[in-house]
Amino acid sequence: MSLSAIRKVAVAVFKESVRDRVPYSLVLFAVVLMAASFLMSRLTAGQDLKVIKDLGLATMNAIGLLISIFIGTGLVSKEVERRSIYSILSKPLSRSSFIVGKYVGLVLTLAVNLGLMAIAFYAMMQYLSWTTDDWIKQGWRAPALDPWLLAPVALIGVQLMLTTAVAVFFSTFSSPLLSMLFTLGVWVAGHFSGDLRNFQTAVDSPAAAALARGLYYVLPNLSAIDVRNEIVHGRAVPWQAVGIGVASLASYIGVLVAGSTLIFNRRDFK
Amino acid sequence: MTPATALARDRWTAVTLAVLLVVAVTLQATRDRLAPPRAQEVPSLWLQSPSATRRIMLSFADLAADVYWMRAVVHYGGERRSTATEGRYALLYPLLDMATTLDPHFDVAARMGAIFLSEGYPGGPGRPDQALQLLEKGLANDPDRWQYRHDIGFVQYWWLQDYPAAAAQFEQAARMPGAPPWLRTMAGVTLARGGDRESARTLWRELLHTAELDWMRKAATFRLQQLAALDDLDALRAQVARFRGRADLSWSLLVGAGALTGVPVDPTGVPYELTAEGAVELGAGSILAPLPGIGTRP
Repeated sequence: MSLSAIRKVAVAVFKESVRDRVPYSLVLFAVVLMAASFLMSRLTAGQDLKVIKDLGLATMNAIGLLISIFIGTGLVSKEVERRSIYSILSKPLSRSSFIVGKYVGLVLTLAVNLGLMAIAFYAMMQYLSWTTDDWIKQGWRAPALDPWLLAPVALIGVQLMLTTAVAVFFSTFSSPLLSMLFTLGVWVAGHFSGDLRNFQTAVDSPAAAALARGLYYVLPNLSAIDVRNEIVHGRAVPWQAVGIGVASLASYIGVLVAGSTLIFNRRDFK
Repeated sequence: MTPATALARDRWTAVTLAVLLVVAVTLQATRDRLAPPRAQEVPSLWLQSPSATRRIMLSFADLAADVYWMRAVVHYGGERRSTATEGRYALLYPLLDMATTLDPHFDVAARMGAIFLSEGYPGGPGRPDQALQLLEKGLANDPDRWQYRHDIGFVQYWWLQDYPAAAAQFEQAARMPGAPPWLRTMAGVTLARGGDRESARTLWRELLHTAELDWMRKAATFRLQQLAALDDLDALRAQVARFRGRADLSWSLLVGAGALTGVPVDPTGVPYELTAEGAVELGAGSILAPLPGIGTRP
């Protein structure tokens, strides 16, 4: 595996995403935020800041999820469908570099999108801060331009890195449609893992409870690093637990990328 | 196709589109005239279980809480303006319950929701019991927030007139981290003089000073105006009593006799009403009506 090859593939994926008009999602994000800010003040009874923060972070999450699933699941299968995979593999490029490069390219796309969305988000917060009376601001638990808001943005990035790894993993051996369903399934399960842990409270079967507990440890726990609620409400965040959650997801990402290269190395394209 | 032909075709397409749009709108209006749509059905909650909804919403539970909060605000506002005689505010508690389950730290939904729920009919559903449930739930999620204890005491004081229970809540709130010193005084005052107008005034005044939201400030200002009107009415009734029995009893008589400097008005500027029998009440159309039945002037 060569770093230069990975970089070349990654840059190609990023350029292709720009050509595929992925940055349009940013326009959508900005429009959603602006429309929301004008509507919210009438409907939220003074909760504009909370609602716009929630909406901004949820939109970043949703747009990122859509990009990672829709592009991630087509990264490899599209090359196979177009038969461009033959010309790519005939070049001096290892299959592992190809997979890792594809993954890094999409992560780069997501990072740039997330970064620009964060800038638009802060601009909206600044606008809200300018247009709000000082006495109302005194009641805010966390300021509009709270630097800590970058933490949930970064952690959404980590969640998306995992979702992308799952999407790439499935795309190495499955059709785009099935890959999308599988990836979405893992994402949903990643948010249900807390329930899996306490499954014995919902069922009488010890076997089912043990299976659910096993799944809890096997599946990535995406909700463990979700600190949006704490940051928006200005509450303390259990950083140590979040750090362990991030490390755990990083391990899963490693497993998935390694698994993807393993499967792709063994695939026969003849 | 030549450019001129293409331009002509595009123009025809645009004209056809505009004509069809006008036809569609006209038909829709005609249909509504001939067969008016049924009156809006009683609104309902599609998702009934807050905890199940929380699970379904996955990582979007906070946003869903905001949506339910906005629905609660709109529902409350709409029902306040409604002229229906029954079924009003039916969804208020379920919506607030949903919002505060989806986001357990959404304290404004619990605290302001409690104000909405407590408000007597027709300004609200008149359900202080549900207000207490909502606040107790908030307190269970955030046991260190003295504001919940204060609000529980407040509902017990103002709406349930259970002064010993209210005093106990203020006392407990005063012992919580970050609680203001006046809470301890409030507990003592409530226990000693619960129900008198001055202690109620202190309560609303503190709420006015500590309110984080404009809506809460307005509610506190309104209640303080009501209390001021109660004081005014006591004073005016005492003045009028001196002239009772006079056939020409009116404000002009009292002004002429030097008992008043002018026609008395309530804190919102509406003149008080004096009947021929000597009764003094709020003027017709005063937004302060109905006045709360709270104590007498100490």
